[in-house]
Amino acid sequence: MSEWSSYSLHDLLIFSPESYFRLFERSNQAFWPFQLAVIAVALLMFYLALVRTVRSQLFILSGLGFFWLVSGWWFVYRFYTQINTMAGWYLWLFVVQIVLLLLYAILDSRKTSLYRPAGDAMLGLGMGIVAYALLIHPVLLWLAGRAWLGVELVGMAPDPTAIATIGFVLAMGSGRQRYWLLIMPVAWLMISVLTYSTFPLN
Amino acid sequence: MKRRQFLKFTSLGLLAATALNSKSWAAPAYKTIPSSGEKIPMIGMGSFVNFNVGNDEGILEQRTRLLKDFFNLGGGMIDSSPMYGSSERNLGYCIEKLKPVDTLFSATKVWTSSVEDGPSEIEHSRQLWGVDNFDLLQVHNLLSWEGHLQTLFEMKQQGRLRYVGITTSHGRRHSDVEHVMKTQPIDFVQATYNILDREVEQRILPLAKEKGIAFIANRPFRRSSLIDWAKKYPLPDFAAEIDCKNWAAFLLKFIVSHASVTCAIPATSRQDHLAENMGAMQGVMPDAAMRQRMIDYVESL
Repeated sequence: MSEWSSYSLHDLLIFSPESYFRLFERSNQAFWPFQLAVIAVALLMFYLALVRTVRSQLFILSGLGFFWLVSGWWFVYRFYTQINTMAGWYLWLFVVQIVLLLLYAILDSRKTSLYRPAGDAMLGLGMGIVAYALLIHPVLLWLAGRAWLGVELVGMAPDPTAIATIGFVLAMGSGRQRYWLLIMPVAWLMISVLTYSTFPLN
Repeated sequence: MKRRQFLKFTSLGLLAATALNSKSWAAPAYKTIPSSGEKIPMIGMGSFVNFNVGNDEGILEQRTRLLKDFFNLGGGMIDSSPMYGSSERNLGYCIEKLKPVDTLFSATKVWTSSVEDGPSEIEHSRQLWGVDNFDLLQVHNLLSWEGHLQTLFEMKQQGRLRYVGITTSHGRRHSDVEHVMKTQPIDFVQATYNILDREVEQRILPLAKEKGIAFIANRPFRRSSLIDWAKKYPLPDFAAEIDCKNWAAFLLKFIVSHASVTCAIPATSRQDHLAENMGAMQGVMPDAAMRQRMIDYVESL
């Protein structure tokens, strides 16, 4: 234990930021043009959450499950595991989240409205977070120097998918059980923050 | 080492000898492995991070050109490990494209807590590299070293391996390293050594000399933080006396000018940085007094 504590996170990271960012470029290139379909689904989910019909809840929660499936299988499994030997373990977060989302969709979302009441602060906050993940996050990455081809999109890249999930859950979670849906997105974002924290600032 | 290689390295050494002056001694570009007398280039190549780029063919083409330059500039040793993600696979990809590579000195590690899994891991590494046999296999960070050393010594005895070694880094477990050096007939030891991390000078380097063990210096630039920091400051005027035109050569010459250091293994992905690194094999080498001046200057920054 004392030996491991003498390593910094930087020492344990076995890939460079350039290699990590290249993964998004390569995954976006290889996925094209299916991004258009994923973005269309994400925008439809956003719209439906604003309209707040009971029937749309199943679609939104299933859509989130689909996004975790795509970002986990496509990005983490197909690409991230190439440079990060730990990435295979991260996939369990995605599996658990997909199961939780589907359970919530099937058990809770079909008959009663889960949406926060109109005007509720949590509803506004949740939809604001979703809007950030959909639109602002890719632009911020670009402004930070990321190539356009390497931007991270909801439904394909884990970070914006996790952020959007948090937003949707805050906006349409009515029961206490909804907090279970936040654990995996928060865990992923903590991993991501730790990863970025090891990258040197240039 | 083949005769052609030897002549190539010897000519570099003679070139260095012409630059001899009163402050320093001229060193050849190669150093001797004590257990065999074989000579190897004193600047090698690390592969932690820089070759872990996944199946990125565009990047791999650049890395192939990088290794081509490495060999053209007199490089020999490439060091890797199963711990380094896709690095071994990608080294194999590049080496395959450059074959035949007469000067390659292949060095990797065994890195598993299970001694039983050691041989299959080594075989997997060998297939990834695409070499008939490794020149050097090292027990990574002393992990399960007793059992793995047994495996490696048997491989050496069977002619399937030329040298056996152990590694550590970041100044860890030096007392264990010393114990292995004293009790096991290893050929190589690898540990961290650079102008700021000089703990190995106290016991490990003298022991390497006493026992006739070659020493590989890892983290010569503390990954990149040491050289990135140093580059904020000017090179001292006296750097010209040891033919150092850049910080890479300055920091590497400090390391390989230690009599008991056999090879330093900086990692880079850039061809301009590679040229700077390999430049440390050329020209005048610092003597003891100059080495102290180098330390004093860097510590004053």
